[in-house]
Amino acid sequence: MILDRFANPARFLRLANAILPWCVGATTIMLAAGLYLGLFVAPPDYQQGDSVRIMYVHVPAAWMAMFVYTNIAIASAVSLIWRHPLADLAANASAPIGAAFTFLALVTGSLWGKPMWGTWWVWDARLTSVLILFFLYLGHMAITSAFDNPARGAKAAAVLALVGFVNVPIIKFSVDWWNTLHQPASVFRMGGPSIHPDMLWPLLAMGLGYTLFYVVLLLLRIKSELIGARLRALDSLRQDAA
Amino acid sequence: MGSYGGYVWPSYGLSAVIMAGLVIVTLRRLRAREQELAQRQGEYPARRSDRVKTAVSEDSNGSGGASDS
Repeated sequence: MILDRFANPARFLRLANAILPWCVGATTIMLAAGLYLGLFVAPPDYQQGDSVRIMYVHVPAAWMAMFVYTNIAIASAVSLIWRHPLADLAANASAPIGAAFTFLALVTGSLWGKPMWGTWWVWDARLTSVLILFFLYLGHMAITSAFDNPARGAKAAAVLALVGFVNVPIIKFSVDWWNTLHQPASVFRMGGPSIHPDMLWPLLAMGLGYTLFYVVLLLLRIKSELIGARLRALDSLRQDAA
Repeated sequence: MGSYGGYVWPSYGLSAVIMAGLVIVTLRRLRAREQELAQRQGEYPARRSDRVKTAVSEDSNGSGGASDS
C-alpha cells in the first residue's frame, strides 16, 4: 500500500527534502503569475469594477480553508483507523495553515462585501458556516495542545476533526440549499465554469499557487513536528537514565 | 483601482502579511528545533545501544560510566 511507504518518517523526510526545492520554485512562479494576471491583465468586472480583483485572493483562500480541513479529516481517519505515525503530525501541522486561510477568506470577503453589499458582515449560511469552520480550526489547535500526553491530544483533535467535517459540504452547498446573499458557485459547478476565461485563468493560477504554498508549509511543519517528537524521545531517555 | 483601492489593497496586503507570517513562524520553529536536536544529540547519544557503548568504553577507561546528569 502506497500509504505505508510514506508513513515511514525516515522515508518521508528523504522524499520531503527532495521535493521541497521544486515545490518552493513552483509556488513562487504560480503566485507571481497569478498576481500579475489578477492585478494587471484581468479586466475589471462590468458591474463590480476593480473590486473584483479581491476575488483572486479571497476565493483561493476559501478553497484552501475547505481543502485543508478535508485533509485534516482524512489524516484524522487514517490516524484513528490505521495509527500511521505521520497522520497526526500532518493534521497538527495543517491546522494553523487552514485557520490562517479561513481568516483570510473571512476578512477579504468582508472587504469585498462592504463596497458590493453595503455591509461588512451578514449572518447568511455561507458566511456563518465559514466562521464555524474557523472556530473548528481554533478548537482543533486548542485540543491538540491541551493534553500533557501528545497522543491523547491528537486523538481528541482527530475526533473533533471528523465530527466537524460535516461542516465542509454545508459550506460548499450552503449557497444552493439556502437563499443567501453570497453568490453561487461559478467555477466548480455542474455544467462547467460560468466565469470568463480572462478571469478564470488568474483565479486558477492563484488557486494552484495557494495549494503549492500549503504543500511547502505542510512539509516544513511535518519536518518540524518529527524533530519535536525526536526531542521528546530524548527527554524520556534522559528521564529513564536519571 | 479607482474608488475600490481602499478595499483591494488591504485584501492583498493582509494576505501577504499572513502568508509571510506563516512562513516566518514555520521556519523559525524548524530552525530552533534543528539547533536543539543537534545540541542535544551532542550531549546525549540518541540510541540506548549508543549509550551502553559509551558507558562501556568510559568504564574501560576508568572514568566511572556515562555522564547523564
